Amino acid sequence: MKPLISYYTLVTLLLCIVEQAYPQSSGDSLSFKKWLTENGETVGVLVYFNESWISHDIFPFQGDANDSRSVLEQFCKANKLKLLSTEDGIYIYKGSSISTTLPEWGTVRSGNGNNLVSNQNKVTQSEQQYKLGRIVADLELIKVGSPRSVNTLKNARVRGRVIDNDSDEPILGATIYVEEVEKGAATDIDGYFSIPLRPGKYKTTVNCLSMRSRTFYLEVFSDGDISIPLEKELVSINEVQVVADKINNVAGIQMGFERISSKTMKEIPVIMGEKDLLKIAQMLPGVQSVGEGSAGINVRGGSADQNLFYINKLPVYNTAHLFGFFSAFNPDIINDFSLYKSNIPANFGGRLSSIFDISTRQGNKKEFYGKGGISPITGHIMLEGPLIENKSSVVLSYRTTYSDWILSRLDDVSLRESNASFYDISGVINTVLNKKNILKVFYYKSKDDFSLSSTNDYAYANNGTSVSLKHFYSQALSSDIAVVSSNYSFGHNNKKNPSEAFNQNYNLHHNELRVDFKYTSPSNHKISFGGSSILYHLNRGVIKPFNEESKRTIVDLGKDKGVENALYISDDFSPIPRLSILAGIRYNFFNFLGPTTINEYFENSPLDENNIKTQKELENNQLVKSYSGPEPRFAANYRLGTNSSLKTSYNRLRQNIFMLSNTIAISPTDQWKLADYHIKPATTDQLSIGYYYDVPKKGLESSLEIYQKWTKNIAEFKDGVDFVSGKPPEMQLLQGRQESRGIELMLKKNSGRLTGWLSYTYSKSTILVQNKNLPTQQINYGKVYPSNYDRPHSFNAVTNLRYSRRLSISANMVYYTGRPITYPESVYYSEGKQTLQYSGRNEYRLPNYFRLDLSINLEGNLNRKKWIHSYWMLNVYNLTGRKNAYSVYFESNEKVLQAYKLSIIGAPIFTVSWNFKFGNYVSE
Amino acid sequence: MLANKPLITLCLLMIFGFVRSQPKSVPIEKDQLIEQLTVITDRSYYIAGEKILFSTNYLASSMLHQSWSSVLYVELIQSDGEALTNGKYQLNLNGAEGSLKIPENCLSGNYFLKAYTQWMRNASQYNYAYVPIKVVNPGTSETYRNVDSAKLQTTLIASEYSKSDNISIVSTQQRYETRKKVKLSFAISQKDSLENKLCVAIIKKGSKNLQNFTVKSLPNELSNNQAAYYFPEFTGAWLRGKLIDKATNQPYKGGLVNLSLLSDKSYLTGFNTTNDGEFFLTLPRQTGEKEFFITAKTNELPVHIALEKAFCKRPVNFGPWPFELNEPEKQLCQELSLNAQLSAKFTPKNKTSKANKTNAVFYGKADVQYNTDKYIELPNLEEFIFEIIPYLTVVKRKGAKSIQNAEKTAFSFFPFFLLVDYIPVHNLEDYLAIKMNKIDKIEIINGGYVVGNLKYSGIINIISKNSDFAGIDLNKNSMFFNYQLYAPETNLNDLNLPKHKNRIPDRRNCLYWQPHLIPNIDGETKIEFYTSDVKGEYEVILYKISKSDGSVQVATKNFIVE
Repeated sequence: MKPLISYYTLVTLLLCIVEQAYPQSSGDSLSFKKWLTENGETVGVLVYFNESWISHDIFPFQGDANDSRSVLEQFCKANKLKLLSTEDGIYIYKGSSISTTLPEWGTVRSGNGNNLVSNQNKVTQSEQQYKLGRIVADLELIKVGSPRSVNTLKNARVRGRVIDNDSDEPILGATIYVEEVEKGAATDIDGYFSIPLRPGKYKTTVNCLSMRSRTFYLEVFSDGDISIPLEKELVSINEVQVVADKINNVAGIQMGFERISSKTMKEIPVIMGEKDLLKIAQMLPGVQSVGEGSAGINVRGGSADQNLFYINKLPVYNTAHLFGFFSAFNPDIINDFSLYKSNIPANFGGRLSSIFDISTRQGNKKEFYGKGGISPITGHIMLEGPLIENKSSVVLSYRTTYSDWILSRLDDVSLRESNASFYDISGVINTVLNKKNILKVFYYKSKDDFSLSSTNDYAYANNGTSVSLKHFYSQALSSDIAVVSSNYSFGHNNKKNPSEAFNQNYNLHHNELRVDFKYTSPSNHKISFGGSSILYHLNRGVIKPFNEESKRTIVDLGKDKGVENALYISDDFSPIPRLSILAGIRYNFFNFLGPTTINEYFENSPLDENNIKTQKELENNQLVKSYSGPEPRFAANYRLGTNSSLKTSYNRLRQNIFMLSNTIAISPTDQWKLADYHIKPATTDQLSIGYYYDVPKKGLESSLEIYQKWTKNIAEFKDGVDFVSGKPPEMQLLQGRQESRGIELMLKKNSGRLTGWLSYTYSKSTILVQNKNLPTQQINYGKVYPSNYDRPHSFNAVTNLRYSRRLSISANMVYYTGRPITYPESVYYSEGKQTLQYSGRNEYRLPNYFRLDLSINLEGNLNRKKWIHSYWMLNVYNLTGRKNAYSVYFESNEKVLQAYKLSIIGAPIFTVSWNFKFGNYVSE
Repeated sequence: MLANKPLITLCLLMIFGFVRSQPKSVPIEKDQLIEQLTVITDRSYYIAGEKILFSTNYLASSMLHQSWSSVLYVELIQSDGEALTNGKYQLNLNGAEGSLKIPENCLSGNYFLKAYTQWMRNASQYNYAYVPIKVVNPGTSETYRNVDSAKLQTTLIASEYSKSDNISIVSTQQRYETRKKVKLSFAISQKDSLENKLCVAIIKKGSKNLQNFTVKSLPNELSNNQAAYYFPEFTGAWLRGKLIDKATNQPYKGGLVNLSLLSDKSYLTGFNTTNDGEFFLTLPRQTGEKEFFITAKTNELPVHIALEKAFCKRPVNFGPWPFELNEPEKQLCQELSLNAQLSAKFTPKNKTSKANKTNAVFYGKADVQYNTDKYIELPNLEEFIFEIIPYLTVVKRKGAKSIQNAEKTAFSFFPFFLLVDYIPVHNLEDYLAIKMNKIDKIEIINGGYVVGNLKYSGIINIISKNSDFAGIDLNKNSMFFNYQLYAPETNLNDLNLPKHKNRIPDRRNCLYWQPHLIPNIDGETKIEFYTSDVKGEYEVILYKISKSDGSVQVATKNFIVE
């Protein structure tokens, strides 16, 4: 083999030849390959190269176009290639240099280094993946405020908003817990919470049932806002969910408080084919239905008119559809409700026993959604969606009944021959105007019509609108201004006795302006303050003869007008670590206004027609009488340990409006009446103590509460009163004292296969109407007697067994002592007239009430991509068919007085309903 | 055939560990069990980074019609015995063929190709076949030299191959141009064809020393009575290992070992360990380095999985064997070096054959497949089974869960074989708790399944979204590892029939290589090849390896490329 000719000699040689072959190289654009075929091959020396290495192929090049050596060199330089010349050819190549000679071997090494071992011990690709899959994702860091304005001496206010990631809907009742400082907060109806924190980094967890909890680091610099979207999560059926929820049964300040949310209870028991949250409320301790097929509830021994129902701040004066078989709220739109029965926050007032605060869905801001269903009794639908995406949403609902199916199944003959219809509609528009303002508009209407076996026609309606504006002044201060207008009216045709037949139209207007402020102080005092003003217009209507046949004289029952103003302030704070206190005061002013005619009676004489001294006419808006008084509210919670706490509360409440009713139930003809010149507002003082204990591992919550209530000026009606007679109400009623006391026990299981609760209530409610000076102005001879709704023992069980995600069975059991009743004890005849001798008031009791309901919920398949998901609900109401007594009445049959028991539903009622929702099983 | 039967029985007995427990009861006739290998390489001089092409003749005494071993182990070793690279090759009665790439960073020096079978490991390592080669690394001035003189050294004795007279190589021309097709024919008698293995190399003249090498002495020879420890791999390569109780350091008996091929999903095998805690897992017949997962089911007892080294580590030492090149050798090597460097530059590098990745799964097509995307996101697998899979139920008895098959088959009494991303999982509780959001799909084999001697009601395989085993806690007694299967096959067509492209140089150092020439029965065997761009004198070498004693004869013919 010849020694290789040196690189330069060869290149120079070649390039000389090339120059000869192309003496006048033009410098035109030319490809390298073409240049080679036209030049290179003529030399007889091949130029080898790989075309794929060439990235800059185009001539001309810099410098002398004829210098072919330069051509090759520039070409190589441009393409970052190297040149090698041998006698066989010229090689253009890439990468490390080729050595044409062998190295001069010198140094000696004793090993090559072991290639084999190093390869074997390396982590394999799958192992890498495996390790990656097991890395717990680093906690996300959320920053609040600006690093430039850090002030470590002062708490920064963090305002956050928790929303549903899918719909942008705010989440109510989500809890936020900051581990390092053991501080917590819960979101309000708009998903907001506010928490003061020193600048620093905190581990924070946000929890809400049925949502995937989120833990993150919160880095606080200064005042600022955060938004926390949560995703839906299905919780394992078997698993008892242990939520690191520090604001729960035990820790929450609230006592005598129940919150039920459609989100947190997917499988709520079904009653009469509907998941009626208000019916569920009646299964809670201390809450009793006044009776089967009746509207109204009694809370802690209070009468039915002592409860205030708010739906989106709109008061609803009649919450019943179809004699109370259904509540007036379409379950599709109810998102959540809270029931306050002992510790009523200072921003609420106006009723003695309870506040039901119902909130509707706020509407999906991202996409359209709907749900609905049909049963033999009702059909209902709810639609929602964005008006302006991510900004404004709308919710519309409609529900109606279309058959008298249920009436035809009732035991009561008159009901069976009746027909009834109802509907309710509602609409919500929720708009985030900007970062600082949220506007909410709510419209609601419900209407019932029924005719009772051609003797009575009833029609009643609730109608109202609320507009509220939430405004944020800063991270710590917000206000909510609401204008509410509510109307309740009924019409009644009584045709039972043609000569007495009459009709009446009643109307109640409630116009309200309320302002609520919320302020979180740097030291975490959660201060609420504000006020409200209500203008009542009550037109009790005119009793008119129904037709010409009727001999009824026209009676104007009169009008009431009043203004109720209230101011309040309250503070929720924690003076020492385990103790939290909610202290507040509400001051209530009530003015009864003219026009009206008032009777002045002689002193120390009964208020009746014979004792009227004078009559006074008062002009429009003239102050007739004014009542006012403070309402202190206080609650304290002392945590005994992580899972138990002791709570106590004291409340005073005033009620300026009451119902003229001589039945225990709310009937469509019951007239609301304001406190007036003679009738004083009722007040109540309630003291309660409770012990709360949780077993988080088993998902159990338990509570025991003892309460005592002292009520003054409770209105009790004289025997045999008639509210359409035209007699002034003060002549028909007497005001007395009521005392209620009781023990409430509750055991609740919120997660796992079996959920539900057991509740037992022992309660006593007695009334004393005593007037030592005027013995006739007493009831029950001035002795204590049980109130109409005194039912000492009450036991409820709500159970839900989820066999699978598609099949669940729920059963409800209701038991309570029969309500008190006054019976005729003897009959005597004087002058041939039969006269009944009655027992003492409420001396006897109806038989005990027992009912068992069963429902089976069968869901459609669990496919993910569906546009509609449907499910069946099979329901049996009163499974045992027990004929529970609604009342006992007496009829004389051939001069023998016979007692008859009236039961409304004496047989099991089966209903099947079909329900649907857009989306799949997981959709709400 | 009949004579071999007792041997097979013997081996089977050995596999299951009986022989070792009674080593003296069955005498092994050493003569019957000897295997002998003859190795021919294409050249004697190589450049670092080049492939050594080799052909092996296999000889099994008194087992002529029965291939005893089916895997050939080849290593490139330094003269102190340290291996630079190695490979496994499929071996049969016709021997084995293949190539072994010399590492790029291999220092210039004298090296040895070492070839053996597992069975041969029972005898002395000096019974293996050794072929010395010279490697030149043009990139470094360092050379390799064995300085370890303390160890026992042995020498190889070289002897010239004898010339075969009865074979003639016929060519039409003496001289050829570059890049021209050349036709050659060999006249080989029928007797020679039948009794020998034939092998052809066409290389630059002088690049092969026609010498036979034998080990001078056989030190450290194993005695007749020593029991066999290495079992013949008659059905392909095994992965052999042992379970050792971590606490007591004693072998763990009665464990179940599963081996999964992770690189593709086509392979899974299992073995119940022997009384010595040993296991023998058949490896898939695939090539290249593959990723495996091995797991041992030992009732939660922590064990160490010790894998037997497939390649023989017993020391051999051929003494200093200094690296020297005389002048003609230098010239030859310089030319080979340039050729090798140029060839390397112009050979496309990314030609790794990943095409043999199969989509087949070892259990075949699943009976049922659930794409979890189709369903709502349930919390965990247990609920998915409960809600979605109608015929499977999770039963809890005395606190222990099991998955039961409602469809009664002959296998329904057996448990399910649980897999995550194709690897076995033994902890059912962990398995059922896998979060559904990590699962892409679930495949089920429902009608029974057999892995080795284990029966299963079926297979449940969870395929995770990120191939991360769904975040499950894998059995502590398991490991991932990369393992070299058979060496990639050498494509002779690529070697011998290059596609000549205009500007790509052809600088092959071996123009033609046929490791196993199958002659025509009519006596005239034709071959075709192409000359390269490299001019000079070439040599055609036909090797004739006797199938009865392994002796080699050669026939040569020279030609010139101009």
